[in-house]
Amino acid sequence: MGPYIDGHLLSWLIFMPGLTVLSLLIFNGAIRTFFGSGGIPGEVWRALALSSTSLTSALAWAGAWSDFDPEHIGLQFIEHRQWMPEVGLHYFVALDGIALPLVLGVTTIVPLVLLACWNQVQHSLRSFVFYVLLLETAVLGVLMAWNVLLFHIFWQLALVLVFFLIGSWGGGRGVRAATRFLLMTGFGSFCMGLAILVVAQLNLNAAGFPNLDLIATSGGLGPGLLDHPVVTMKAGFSSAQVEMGLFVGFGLAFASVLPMVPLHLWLPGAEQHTTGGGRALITALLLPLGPYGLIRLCLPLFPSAAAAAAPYVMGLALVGLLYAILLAALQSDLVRRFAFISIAQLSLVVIGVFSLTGQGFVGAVVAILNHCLTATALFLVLSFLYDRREVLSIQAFSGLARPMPVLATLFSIIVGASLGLPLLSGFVGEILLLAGISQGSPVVLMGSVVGVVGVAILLYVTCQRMIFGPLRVPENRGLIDLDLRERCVLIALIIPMLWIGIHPNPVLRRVEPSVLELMRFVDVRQVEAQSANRSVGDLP
Amino acid sequence: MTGLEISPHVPIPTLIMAVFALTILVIGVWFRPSWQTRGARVELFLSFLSLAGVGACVIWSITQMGLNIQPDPSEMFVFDPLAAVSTILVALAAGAIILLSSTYLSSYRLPQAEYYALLLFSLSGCFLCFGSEHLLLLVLGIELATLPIVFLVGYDFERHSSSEAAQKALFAGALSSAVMLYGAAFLYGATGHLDFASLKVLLNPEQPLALAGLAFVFVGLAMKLGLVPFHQWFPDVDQGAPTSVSVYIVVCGMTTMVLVWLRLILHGLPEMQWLLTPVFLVLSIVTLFFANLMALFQRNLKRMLAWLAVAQLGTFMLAFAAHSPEAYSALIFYLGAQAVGMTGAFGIIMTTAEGGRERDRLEHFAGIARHRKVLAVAMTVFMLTLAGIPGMAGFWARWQLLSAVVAAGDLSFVVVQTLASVISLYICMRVPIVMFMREELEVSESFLPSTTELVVLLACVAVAFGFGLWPNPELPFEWGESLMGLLYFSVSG
Repeated sequence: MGPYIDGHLLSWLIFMPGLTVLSLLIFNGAIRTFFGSGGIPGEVWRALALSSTSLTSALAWAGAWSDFDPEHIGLQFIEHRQWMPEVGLHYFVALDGIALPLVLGVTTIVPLVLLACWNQVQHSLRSFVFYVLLLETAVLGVLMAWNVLLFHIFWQLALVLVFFLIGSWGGGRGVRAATRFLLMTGFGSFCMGLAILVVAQLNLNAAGFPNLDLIATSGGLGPGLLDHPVVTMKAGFSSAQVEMGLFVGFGLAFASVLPMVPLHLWLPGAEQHTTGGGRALITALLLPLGPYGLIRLCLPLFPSAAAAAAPYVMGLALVGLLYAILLAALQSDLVRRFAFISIAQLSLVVIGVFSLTGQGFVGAVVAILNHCLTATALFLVLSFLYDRREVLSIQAFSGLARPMPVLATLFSIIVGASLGLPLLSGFVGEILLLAGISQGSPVVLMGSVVGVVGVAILLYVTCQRMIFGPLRVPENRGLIDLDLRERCVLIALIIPMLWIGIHPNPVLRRVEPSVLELMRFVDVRQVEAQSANRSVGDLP
Repeated sequence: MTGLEISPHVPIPTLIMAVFALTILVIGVWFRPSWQTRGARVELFLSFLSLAGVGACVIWSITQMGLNIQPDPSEMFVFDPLAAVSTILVALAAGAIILLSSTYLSSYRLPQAEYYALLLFSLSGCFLCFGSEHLLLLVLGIELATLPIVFLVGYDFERHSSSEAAQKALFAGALSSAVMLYGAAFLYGATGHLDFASLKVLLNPEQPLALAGLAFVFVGLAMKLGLVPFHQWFPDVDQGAPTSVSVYIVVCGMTTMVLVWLRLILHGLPEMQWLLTPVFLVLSIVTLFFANLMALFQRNLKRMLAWLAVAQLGTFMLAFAAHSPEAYSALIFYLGAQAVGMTGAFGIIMTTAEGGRERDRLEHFAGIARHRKVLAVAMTVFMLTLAGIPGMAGFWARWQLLSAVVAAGDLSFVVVQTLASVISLYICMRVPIVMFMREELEVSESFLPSTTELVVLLACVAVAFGFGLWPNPELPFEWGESLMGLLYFSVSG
């Protein structure tokens, strides 16, 4: 790679979409001011956005292919700059095996979604492009941030952008959905902000200087939050209640985005009332951040609290899983049905994560990636159907295989991947998750299996009703099959599903070292063993 | 220092303001007969004159920052670093308000000479409070600051709501001053002194008279401030006043009162902290919840912002309860961040007012993002900084303040504050919701911001972002290195 990119790859990835759209904004304003015209047309914005995000994606793949060392334990592509040392905020971005698949997934999906909804956004196209590209920047920032406060800043940026993405195209109901989203996720993220504040204070008391980096690095000031659990435990989290409170503070933020069941109310409405593209982006970009945050921050920072809370969280997620399946079955609107299925699948991820086993973590990463790919593809199929029929209720579709054979084939593959058919990506994640869960309580395992089967049946039945069977609705007779653009988008999403399903080793090989590293922080026994070996005096 | 040595015990900024105000009055009278022909140019000159006065105060304060001036028990006034920081903060906000006012006033066809004169008189009162080391001087300063506000509130007296608001301001102001003076008299009776240095030593809360005096002084100040059980006048006055006066009340008036309170506590009553902390905590919680809940139901933007400002007072009270140098430094930064957000938000309301008609209801902003992108985006930035979203100045303000409170050990109150700020997040985001996501109710008249207004608003946006991305919460202390020492000294006794 070129001299400009070496050493700054992640910054390029994070800021390329955002800077593209900001410079477009400035040029637009300049043209409007000095020439008095309408500015750069939305079509140009869209084209530039597509090229910028494609370039980001290419850069991500090139970096992952050539420079990412799968055997390396720990962080790669580290960039560390001091930003506000007085509060412990540093610009610290890095990549490990857990974030890598998600980063590749996100950068790949964004240009595909832009392509998929090429003609869909009719009014305020420029705003749409603005929100989408800035959202990509924010999400990549969250995925790569290794400073807790930096994570929080990107996190809030992402939420604000999604808020506008939900509300701006849905009319009155869209506004209501956006408001609900704002209240729930805003509550969560303010709780996270408060927890970070307390962590900062505790860390300051323990270490003597503010530092919110997660781990120490060469450019950093010293030990990060994860490096001295000994000190933090002894001086800071003197009581288990404080640690539990902080765990809950972080957890609420991630649960509200995930979304876990009592905080899930925003998702179906939000998905229903935004545009097809917005729907796919919320699914692909925002939802993965919930479980990712749990893995990245919640568990390693507060291992004892996580271990103590695990049974309750698993129980809650299990209830959520079954409840979401029940609600999904009752929906007649396809978007709402798939939204509830998303909730169910992510609840399963939470159960797997809180099994606190290596397999659970690896499975969670693969399952998040799989959810990213399949749910996005499902929503894109729905938006293609909506472009043709302008309805999304399940009664409106039946026997689509006859007029739309290509759609039928691709949709079936996607559904297969989503429900965990062998040789497709869903299978790998689910098996690993269940293997992780099986090391704990058999009741949870039983419930999870029921949930997996329930999701599978639901998806199968939905597919069956839409694609196969007699062509009952006369309007569907004349439907035009997918055009080249739509086929390309779906095939581009299906290729990784097949790849992960048939040959998951490249992914697993990269995830596993990082998960082993993570287990060092999460496994309470390991943490205690380390505490016994180290003392406070070891730290500078 | 060579040349003229000016004693730090002379209230220079107050004098500057008074001189400029009188000059403006004279010029206004002088040009009255030919107002019709030369009005616009004279008005421009007047606004520049008032800006020059405010600028002179800022420059004077900056030159005084570095000198490590300590209060002298025998003097009633001292221009110490705290006074300098306070003056700079309020003067900068007042400068922005003066710039915003001229277009607004001319669209209402209101005379401007008296307006600027009253504004500067009020500022001279504010600057007098900032350095007062004597309770009577403090009361005098507050009176000087608030009495012109009454006239300003009623400035658009042909409008019914404006004159009604002025009456409310007058009565509330008179009542609170009376209560405060009554308290001062009690304190004098109990100790025989009214200067802060003596009060600090002699005040004995075991004495019922002293306790009653303290309570009266506090209630009076709380009424001036608009803290919740004593807030009733505040939203009414703010809604009824001309918008350029509303922003003055919310930004300069409230900031002044908080800083006065800070000074009184640091210099006069540091020994009373054990008595005051529970009071602050109770006031804080009541204010946070009541004001946020009230703001939730407002459809009038000015009223909503006023309630929001009252709600922020609840957060400020937490700083007083924490009573640490860090908390007070964060408080000063918070005041600045809030001033930026509030000035900007009210500035947008002023910009959209046209032809003598206020467009201050939430519906008036419906869908303006379609045609007035810059205004809508700027308003969103102000609302985000008021809500305390990361990347904005308001976030760091809250962060610093809550950090200080956590360091003082009041974890439960921080949780309460966080819950309340979720409500205020929703309140703030209602404005962007309306601007970006609703259809336009009426085809908006072509309100375009004037160049001055645009510059001020963009400057506010730049500051909100600037302090959001490169915050320096210890800025007040870099301005005057001795301030930190002063705070430490005052807090630790």
